[in-house]
Amino acid sequence: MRPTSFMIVLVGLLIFPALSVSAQKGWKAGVARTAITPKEHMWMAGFAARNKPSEGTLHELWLKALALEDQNGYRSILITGDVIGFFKNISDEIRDEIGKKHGLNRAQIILNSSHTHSGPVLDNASLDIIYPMAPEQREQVMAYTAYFRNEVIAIAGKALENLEPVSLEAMNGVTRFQVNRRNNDVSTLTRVPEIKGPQDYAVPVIRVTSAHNTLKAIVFGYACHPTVLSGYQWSGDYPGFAQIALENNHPGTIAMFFQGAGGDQNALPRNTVPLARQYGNELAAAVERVLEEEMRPLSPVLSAAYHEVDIAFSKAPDKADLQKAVSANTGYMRVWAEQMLKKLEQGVTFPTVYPYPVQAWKIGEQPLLALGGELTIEYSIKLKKIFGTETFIMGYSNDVMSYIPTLTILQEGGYEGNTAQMAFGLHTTWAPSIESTIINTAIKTGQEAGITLP
Amino acid sequence: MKITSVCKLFLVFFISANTLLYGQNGWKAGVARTVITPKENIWMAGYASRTKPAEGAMHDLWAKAVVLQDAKGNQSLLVTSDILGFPKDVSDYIREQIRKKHGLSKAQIILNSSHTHSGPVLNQALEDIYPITPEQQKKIDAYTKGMAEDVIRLADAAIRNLEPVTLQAANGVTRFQVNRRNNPANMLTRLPELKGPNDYAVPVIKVTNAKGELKAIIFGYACHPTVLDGYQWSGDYPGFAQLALEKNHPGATALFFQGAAGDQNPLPRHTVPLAKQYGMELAAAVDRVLEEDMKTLLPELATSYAEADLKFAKLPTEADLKKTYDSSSGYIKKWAERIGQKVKNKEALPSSYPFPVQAWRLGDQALINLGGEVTIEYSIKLKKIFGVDTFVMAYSNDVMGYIPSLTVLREGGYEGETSQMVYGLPTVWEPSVESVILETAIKVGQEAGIPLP
Repeated sequence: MRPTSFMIVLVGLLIFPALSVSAQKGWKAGVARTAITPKEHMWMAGFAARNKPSEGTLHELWLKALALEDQNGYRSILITGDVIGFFKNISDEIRDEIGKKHGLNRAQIILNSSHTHSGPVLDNASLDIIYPMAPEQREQVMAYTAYFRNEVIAIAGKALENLEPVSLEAMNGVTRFQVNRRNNDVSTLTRVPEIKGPQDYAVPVIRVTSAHNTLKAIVFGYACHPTVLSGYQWSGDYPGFAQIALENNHPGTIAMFFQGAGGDQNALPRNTVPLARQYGNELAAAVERVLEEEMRPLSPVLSAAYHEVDIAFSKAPDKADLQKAVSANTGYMRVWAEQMLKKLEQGVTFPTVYPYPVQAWKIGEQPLLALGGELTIEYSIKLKKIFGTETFIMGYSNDVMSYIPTLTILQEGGYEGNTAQMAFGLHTTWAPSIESTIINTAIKTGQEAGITLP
Repeated sequence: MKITSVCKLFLVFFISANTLLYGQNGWKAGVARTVITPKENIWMAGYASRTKPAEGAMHDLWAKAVVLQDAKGNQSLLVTSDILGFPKDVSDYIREQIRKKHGLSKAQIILNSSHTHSGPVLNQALEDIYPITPEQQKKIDAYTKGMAEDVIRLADAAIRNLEPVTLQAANGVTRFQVNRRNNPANMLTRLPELKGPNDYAVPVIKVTNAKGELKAIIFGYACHPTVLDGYQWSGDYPGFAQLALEKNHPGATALFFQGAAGDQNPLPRHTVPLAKQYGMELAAAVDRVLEEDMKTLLPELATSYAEADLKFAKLPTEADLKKTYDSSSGYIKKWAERIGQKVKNKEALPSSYPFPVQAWRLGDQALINLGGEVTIEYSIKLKKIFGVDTFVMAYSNDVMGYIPSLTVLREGGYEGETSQMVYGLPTVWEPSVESVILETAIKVGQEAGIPLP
């Protein structure tokens, strides 16, 4: 036997066990992305104050997908998008369609929106309450929503087609450009020596590396409203700049941003493009640090669970309440009261509960909880107290029906606790059972996905 | 008369009014830089726990200088450097040489150190905390001398390079620093709120020449460069920030100055990727300021300087020191021995220390500059006094010890009490420390023409 043959056998011995663990029996992942920047100037989502459609593009809006398959062939798909929210009307259709085509149930699909306030309006219940659109602009929204829905369904298929052997690693980083917007006064921020919480500074990161050791995808999150920008140019706001920075640093890699429990967190100071870029670069720097340090390798076992839990509304308003609200208010509050009154007059009964999506994935050792709505930060803090500080928390997933206040915020009231319900076209506030219902459902769902309580 | 002529007349009038006020020229600035990375692997400054000398360089250490000259020819010199601090002897020598050569007074010179904990030990600085052999001491002496001459030559070069410029200033913001006294580092990932006091400001001065080229970016932050504690020379996060800015703006020199960072740490810390992250975050904050509107500074420079007598509390007796010597170990024992020997020899311990307080006014930009490891409340209070746009520098001209606020002094702990022994000082500061410094800063500020709002 010549030395070279011997070497080949040796190398073969080394490779085959590795293949049987990491390739044949390991993770597979597929990624895909597509630009979804509207081709026409249309109404922009997130601020009631805008009074005209978009006027141009700062950078492209993206839809991105990561499909995962564990060693047993069990699959899941994460789709992130530079949009205000995946509202129930299209989210249900999209998930049903993806489910039918690819044999996935709702537990296996996460649709997360970055919540950029410089993206297009999508069709939803609050359409006519906060956006002063003309009928033709409304038609544009309907057409774009249909296009968007189809793009989401298509991208899921593309990601699943691209499955290839990968390794997965996860870790939390940290950055602090977000500020609890309820408990800090933006006008005195430069003179305040302490920023009040609660806050969660975590930057969760998942690294997807292909078998030939190239960085395929960077999935990362942060809990902070993308409301640095409020102008008339399409952009992903700070998450858009963060994704661009990471994709520039790592050519060929897809950087996917997911929104966390950013309901009551703002990037402050704000309102300029250089600030959006600064925060994007800061977030990218936090992600780079995680990528450079040691990350936790994830065993190729995936499990997922999903529930829609009934979260109760408080007592519904009657005609007299709404008539009073009509005469006492202006702006979107008045429009809301008029619409609700009309519903009552048409004999509509207000629902007493809302089906709220709670989802859990266990990616190897990594717990991940994905909740719907504009989730406020205390949920993230509490869920990490329950499941451990390494847990990843997504908000704004699968449905954005309104803000999700904690009991504290609900009792304090204000925008996130009270008036946002009207902006979202809901008839009243949530009942005080909201926090315990959601946390208990998260515990149940997490346990179903095999996430152990420490 | 046509409308355009009226406009032209106006323009001519406007220009000549400025020319009358400021002469032909506005600001001039000269920029220079020199590598000060030690050529030998000498002892590294900042931590008592290091057990061996440096083992290589992560990136170069720099001394950098900007000379400013206003319309009337008034000059000032800012030196920034990747070192722990300029000890009084070294600083006095450098400033005296520059005075002799260029006629610049102490008021006109700022020697700021970034306070990197990955730079070389200098002579006469924190000598009780490092386990240094006589050979290593020789290397430190030689390096200190060479570095002082480098800084003097740097001033020459900066003055030679004077050219017409415009100056602009504004504050940015970033928040990677944490008040290290009031937040437990080991629980940081589980804390929903970080306690202050903090100052998140990122002061920036932009120096642009007549061709519109960015010549210098002078920027600061109040945070200890203590991400790294290894054996490689580096500027820590300020080093990475300066590298990032100089990469983003080829041809420009980025100069970092340290603020009132005495009680502020970058947290979490201890890894090179984190030092890089914070450097990138700081650079991103500076780039945002450079991209936005900045306040243009009129070419008027005023400078002022005083050394305030900062009193020590009641001095220790021979018996106090003997008790400390018997009951302690490490640098505290060494300190008690050193001070005890002085008392035994009937050497009078100093009852006060000459603390440098300086003010520059660049147009209507106020800059207050203090010596020592100034704690953050000084920055907060000086901004309450002079306005929120004020720039505050510390670790300048002399780093003799921590400068606790009255609160920190009374709380005690490292910055309030035990660090005095690290610095070889006879005892803690008197409770007048805060009011004496603030009063002197107000006096010096007003001498430099900085108005109280």
